[in-house]
Amino acid sequence: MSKVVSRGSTRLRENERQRIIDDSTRRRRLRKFLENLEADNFHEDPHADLVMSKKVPKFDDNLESRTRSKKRERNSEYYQIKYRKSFQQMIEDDRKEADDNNRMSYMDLSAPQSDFPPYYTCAVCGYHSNYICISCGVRVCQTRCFDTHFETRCLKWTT
Amino acid sequence: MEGNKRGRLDSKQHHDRKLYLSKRPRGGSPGPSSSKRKECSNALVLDNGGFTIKIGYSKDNNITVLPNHIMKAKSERKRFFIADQIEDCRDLSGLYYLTPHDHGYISKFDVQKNVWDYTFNKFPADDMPVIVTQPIFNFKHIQEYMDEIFFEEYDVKTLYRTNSTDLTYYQYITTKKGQHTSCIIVDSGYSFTHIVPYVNGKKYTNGIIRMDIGGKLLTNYLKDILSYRQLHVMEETYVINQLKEDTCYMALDFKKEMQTAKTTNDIVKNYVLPDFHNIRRGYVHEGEVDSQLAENFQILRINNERISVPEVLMKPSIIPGIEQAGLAQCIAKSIAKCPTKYRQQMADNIILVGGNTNFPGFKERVETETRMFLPSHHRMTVFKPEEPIKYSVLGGKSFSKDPQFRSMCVKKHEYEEHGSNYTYKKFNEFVEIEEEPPKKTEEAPFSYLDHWKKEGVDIFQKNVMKEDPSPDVQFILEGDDIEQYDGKYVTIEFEYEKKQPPKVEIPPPPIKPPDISQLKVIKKKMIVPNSPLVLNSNATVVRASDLQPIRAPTKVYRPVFRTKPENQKITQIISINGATPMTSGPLIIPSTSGGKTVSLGSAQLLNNAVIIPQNMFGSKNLTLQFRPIFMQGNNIIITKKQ
Ligand SMILES: [Zn+2]
Ligand SMILES: [Zn+2]
Repeated sequence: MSKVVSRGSTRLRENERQRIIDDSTRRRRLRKFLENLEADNFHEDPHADLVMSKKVPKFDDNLESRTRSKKRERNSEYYQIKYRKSFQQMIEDDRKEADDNNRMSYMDLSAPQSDFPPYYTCAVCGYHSNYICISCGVRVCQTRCFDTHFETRCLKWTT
Repeated sequence: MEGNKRGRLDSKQHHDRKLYLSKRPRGGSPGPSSSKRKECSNALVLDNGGFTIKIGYSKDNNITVLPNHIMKAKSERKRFFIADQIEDCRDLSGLYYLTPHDHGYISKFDVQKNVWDYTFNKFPADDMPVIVTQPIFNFKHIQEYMDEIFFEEYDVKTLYRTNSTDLTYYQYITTKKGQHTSCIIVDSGYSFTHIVPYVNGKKYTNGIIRMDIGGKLLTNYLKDILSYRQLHVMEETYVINQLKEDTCYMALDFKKEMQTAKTTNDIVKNYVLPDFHNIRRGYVHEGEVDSQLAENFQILRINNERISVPEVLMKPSIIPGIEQAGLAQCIAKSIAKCPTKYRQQMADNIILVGGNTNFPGFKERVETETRMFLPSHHRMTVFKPEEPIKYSVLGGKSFSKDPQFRSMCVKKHEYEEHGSNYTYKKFNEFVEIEEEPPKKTEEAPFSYLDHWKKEGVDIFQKNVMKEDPSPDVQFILEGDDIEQYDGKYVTIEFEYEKKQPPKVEIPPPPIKPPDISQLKVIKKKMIVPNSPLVLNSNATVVRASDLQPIRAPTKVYRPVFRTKPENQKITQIISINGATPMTSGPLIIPSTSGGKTVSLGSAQLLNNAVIIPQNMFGSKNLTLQFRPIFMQGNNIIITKKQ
């Protein structure tokens, strides 16, 4: 048995230290992280439990004071049902149409990759990072930050 | 007015700054009575952003900003809050957002309808024309939805649908004096950041670049790091967005500011979070936090987050998984995609709009960093309007008063007759590109080093082509040179002379490389350990005359290149090796007068070469001084040969 050098990470159990998260899981984690950055809300709809009850407020109720006279007024569900289409679908349609008309599409406008090496920041403290966590691939900058990372997010992060 | 004589004036109008107007209405001719119709001269302008709606009538001076969401509060279960109804909400914690947009495009059509219902209720359009904005290359599907809702639901009689950058462009060219009709608009909003070049009045579609970084991503990123480092605030989008607006700023020198944040307390701010009983809005607490404050309120300590969050726009790679180029690089790339003869004009007219441009220091940073990516002979001017969020509505207001405006709208009866395809065609005319056929292949930026290598030109008294086929020019440390290398600085001094007085061409497109055959290097010495040399952002460019203090101790070795005959100024030269610059931080030139430093101005890092324009040379000497960093694989190692 080799002696463990007394550093911060001694408290890590041997079997934990061995565990390495595979590539596909890392990619899934990263994708989840990026999706969360695009999300409008982190939490669930606080009124979700009202859906079944009669009390659920209707959008259109909020506008009692409407003055314009409209003969063909449609409620908002009409539009959502008629036009429902996911973003992915719309991008696809756009690309097809762009190809037919020989114009740029949404996809073509995306900014190119940087000409410079990436600037890495420590996930724990935010300063410039030179090291990678072997287990999960997250960037850290020093042993102290690594320990924090290991004890909090590293293997415990649910995906 | 002008429209009636259009046939005859066509060729002249190419140089007219109103070209935008004269070129757009290709289909129909402007109605002769259009400018006389006084009764309809009011118009409603609606800029439909991902975060807010900006709306105003052309007749009055107000522009109202309304949130483009429906919100639900934890405390109030009986109702929604549409747009600015949120002002009635007492407790804004854990606010839940229903946002019409997904990636900047309308996707929750019911939510959008409700926000618009509310908006038009507040700002009735009556019979006046409506100008509404949509994102660039708005999907046809969404445009059909907009047609239906505007013409059929809101009974709009006259509609003009456009991009907010078009309105920004109109406002800029009509209010700014000058003959320019080409410019580049940077619109950094909630969902994304667009860089849109306008060539002679039209969007140059091949040059448009979209960075998928906007205010939403920055707020969410800030939420994420604060939640991990200090306090769980993932559900507090509303509060953290305010925190971002109150504390974040764009660093001029990111590395330096980060170092300051790490080692001192100069950057740190204490932010008192609202509890919605005693404090309704969070604020920055200046000075010490006493125990009473700390007991009663939650306080976040914001340090490097203040700069690293806006920095994501310049270095997207700060967020793991994002590989897009930074804003300054994208601006330069967008300009480089445009026809050569317009590039100077574009660099001279860079317009910043959108919410993110409100970060303090944003404009200055974009100026400094974009400068480094542009060819050295380009002048560069950045313009940021006083209210970058409302600028496009201002443009819409002025455009609605333009005599040509009416002819570009679609009337309700036209829509009813021809359907959505007609409006789609009318509102998306920019898609056609007349002047330059679309070129998918991008013109590579000009590089002196590559040029010289291609020509086999001798820059360091050796034929690059024959002797060194590898792309890196290597400098070798030899003999006792190493002894004089103090491990810190390597200084290279160039003294080039040109036989003929340099020609002054302003501006000189295309870039003319200096005639190397007329330059002769007569002496060369260089110290650098035998690894490829890398310029890093600590690089300093100084004039020979500034070097006195460094010269005195002989530790700094100064190899000299000299040319014959003497007494003449250098043209454009400087290249150091083929290695990639490490980062894109600004280079600094100490000025000759006193210790004041000025930014590099038009010197430039281009394809691995440093190119410094003629006007930077006061004397005939140029000295480059830099810290060498040597790369081996991904590790940075500073070596000293024994
Ligand atoms: Zn760290
Ligand atoms: Zn890890």
